[in-house]
Amino acid sequence: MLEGLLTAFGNLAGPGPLFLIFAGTALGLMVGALPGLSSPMAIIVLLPITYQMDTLSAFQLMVGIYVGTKLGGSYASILLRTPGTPAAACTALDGFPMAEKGRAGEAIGYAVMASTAGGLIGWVAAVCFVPFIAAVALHSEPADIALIGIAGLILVSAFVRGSMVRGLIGVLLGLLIASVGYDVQEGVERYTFSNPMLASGISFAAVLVGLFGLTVVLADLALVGRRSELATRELNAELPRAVEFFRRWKAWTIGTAYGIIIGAIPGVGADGSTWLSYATVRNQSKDPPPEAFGTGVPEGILAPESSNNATTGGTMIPMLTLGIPGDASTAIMLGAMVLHGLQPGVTLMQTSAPLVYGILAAMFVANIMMFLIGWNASRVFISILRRDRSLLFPFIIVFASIGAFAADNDVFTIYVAIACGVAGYFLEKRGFSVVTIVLGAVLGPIIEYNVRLGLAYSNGDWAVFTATWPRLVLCGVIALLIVNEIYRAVGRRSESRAVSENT
Amino acid sequence: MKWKTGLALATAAMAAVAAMTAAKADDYPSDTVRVVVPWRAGGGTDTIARALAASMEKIAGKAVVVDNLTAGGGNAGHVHVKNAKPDGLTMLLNGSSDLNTPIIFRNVPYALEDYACVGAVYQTPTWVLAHKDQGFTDFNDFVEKAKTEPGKLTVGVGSLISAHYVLAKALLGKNGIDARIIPFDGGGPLKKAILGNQVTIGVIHAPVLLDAVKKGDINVIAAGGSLENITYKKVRDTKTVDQFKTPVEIGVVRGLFVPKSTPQEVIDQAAGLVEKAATSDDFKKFGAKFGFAPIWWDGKKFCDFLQKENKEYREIKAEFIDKK
Repeated sequence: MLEGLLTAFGNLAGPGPLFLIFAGTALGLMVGALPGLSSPMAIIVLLPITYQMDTLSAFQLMVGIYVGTKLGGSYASILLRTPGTPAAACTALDGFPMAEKGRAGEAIGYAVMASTAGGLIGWVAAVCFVPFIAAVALHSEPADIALIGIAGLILVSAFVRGSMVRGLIGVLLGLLIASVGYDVQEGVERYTFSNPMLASGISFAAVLVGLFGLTVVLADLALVGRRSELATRELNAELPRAVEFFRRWKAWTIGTAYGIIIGAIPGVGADGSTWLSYATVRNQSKDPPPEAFGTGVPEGILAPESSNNATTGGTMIPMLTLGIPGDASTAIMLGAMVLHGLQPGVTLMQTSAPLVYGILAAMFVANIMMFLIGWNASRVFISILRRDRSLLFPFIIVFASIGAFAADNDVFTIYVAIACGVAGYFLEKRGFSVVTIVLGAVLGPIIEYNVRLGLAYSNGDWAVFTATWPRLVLCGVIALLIVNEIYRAVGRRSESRAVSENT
Repeated sequence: MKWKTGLALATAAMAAVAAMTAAKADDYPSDTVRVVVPWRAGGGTDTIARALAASMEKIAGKAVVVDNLTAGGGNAGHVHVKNAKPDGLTMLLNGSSDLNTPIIFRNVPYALEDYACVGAVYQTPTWVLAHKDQGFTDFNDFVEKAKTEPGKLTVGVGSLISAHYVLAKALLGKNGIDARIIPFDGGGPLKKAILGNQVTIGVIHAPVLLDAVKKGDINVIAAGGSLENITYKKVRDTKTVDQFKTPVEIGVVRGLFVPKSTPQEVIDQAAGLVEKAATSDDFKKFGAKFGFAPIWWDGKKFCDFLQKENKEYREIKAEFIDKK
């Protein structure tokens, strides 16, 4: 295992790979810094370019973007109070007040340090767990994968901030999209309306392009011609010292731990982990007291920023070992693997070990580069924030269309992307999250296929899903999740009733 | 006098142009050749197409590009070639059973009659594999076990619309065995299930899983057709399915097609180029890597085979699949 990783690092030592990771990371930082543009979109837009590359190079670029956006999002959160990415929303709570006090440089410095620490520790976790879980997963049967997928799907709908019903509707829409086409087990046509172009279903890449590329452009059209006002004019503020950072180790270790664990849980990703770690750090903090959070304390930046970067390591674990995405970006990376002719899943480690190690090695380098770029070139990204980003829209539309076309070499997929983009725009406007749709569309077929395969193995006996101890545990987890959701929903309702009675 | 010279010159010029045009018609291909593959890049058919295209390009001196038109489960690629200009510059490369099975089992917007055959470059049979822990040396061992445990054993196939499925149905039907056929989502997942010993036996295209066969993890217990072209000598004398009461030949012959309306002259020119490429040393070297030696069949032989395969599959379908 170590050998594989060392070889992968050895292969990185060249101008080509290093440049790709550098370019990806820098681009990720930039895209992340621009509110509304996030890493799934950046990866989607670059997908057509990566078709021409060999698989590992494509992933060096994508991993760079993935890591970079996680830090990039915090610039906008700190300076504009508009999060650059959903994962950085939490950082605004303390980052923006700090910037208002004229300590923007310090806030960004903390974000850079916490992101790097979180990213590197998350990477260590990924390196430790990927080979281990890959070895265990090889013995997994369809029933196991189906149960993990179901647990992930419940978590996706539960973690959508705000309304679980909306989350569930999003997931169901995703399932609906994924169910179009020939059914593998029975050979029945589903929702194809005898249209031969729908025979193999709706192209997943086209759905992604629509939901993450075109939806964003449509949603941001309102911003055309508008420039962003920064919290503070003077950005020359000094960066924090390393001692200050290590003194607050508790905040970023808690954030990192949450990031890794939540990242590794299929379907949730960084958006959920930041809030959880922020709340935990706040509640157990003595100095500064919990009340001080929200007024600009460094801990309030360290916790979410370490957490969102730590998820990048965590999400690698299910992605590389089970073929199950940890968040929207990894869902797209899995799609990219398929487009590059690979079979993501439990056998990936066996069939493409050099790629797995190559991705992990690239992730380490991307974290180092993120630190160097973030530390030295913050001003560049801050100046980008002042630009009118509508200039990017034509490029996004062009690349998104190319990406949709290239998925199947067909114009039909562009229409699919446009339809998804328009639908996604209205859904987002109504408070639905497109991420839930995408994860539904990814996890749905994985679950369906494995449930039915599991039943085919057992000759239709449902007991196969509780036949082994790990499956019983998974069933227990699923039951707990559902009970918890119901309990919380009921609790929330009685709470709001109590509030309305009091008033 | 002057206008006569002019006329003579003009005539000469026209003759020259005519001669050049004639030369151009001989000079196939006049432009870039597109080889349409209705499968994603990276699979068996695509790998063969790319190797063949490279050899064709070397011989023709013109660009030969592989175009993966996969939309609609490959429908887009088939329809594109069906409606292409009949100039021999757009060809479809697909396997015989990969063309026949959708036509027989699905409602697709193309038919065998839409294409003229250029020639075939690869013939690979399907084969029946079992994990070594099953302890089968040939298909009869499976038959015996299946008779003692009816309805218990499983046969994995890559998809319901494939030569795998047809062969599995025929084998079970002709031998009168009650075993369950489990369709997978393509060859990749089926490979995993065979390697993991999750299905009793699996039917898949040769030479898939050849590495595991060489290592001894997987046994080849029957072949859907002759394995004489396989590079790994030890499995060449695997018993074919006709020794297990199933007198059919099930595999995939991969070759090139052009639109039906293509003039015979153009087809011959295209076939000339493909034949040279298919028998070139480069392509043979590719064969050593692929696991099978390439072949060359002319268009007539290929088309006859397609018709025969179509008829056989329809018979199996009527006898073992439709009745249920």
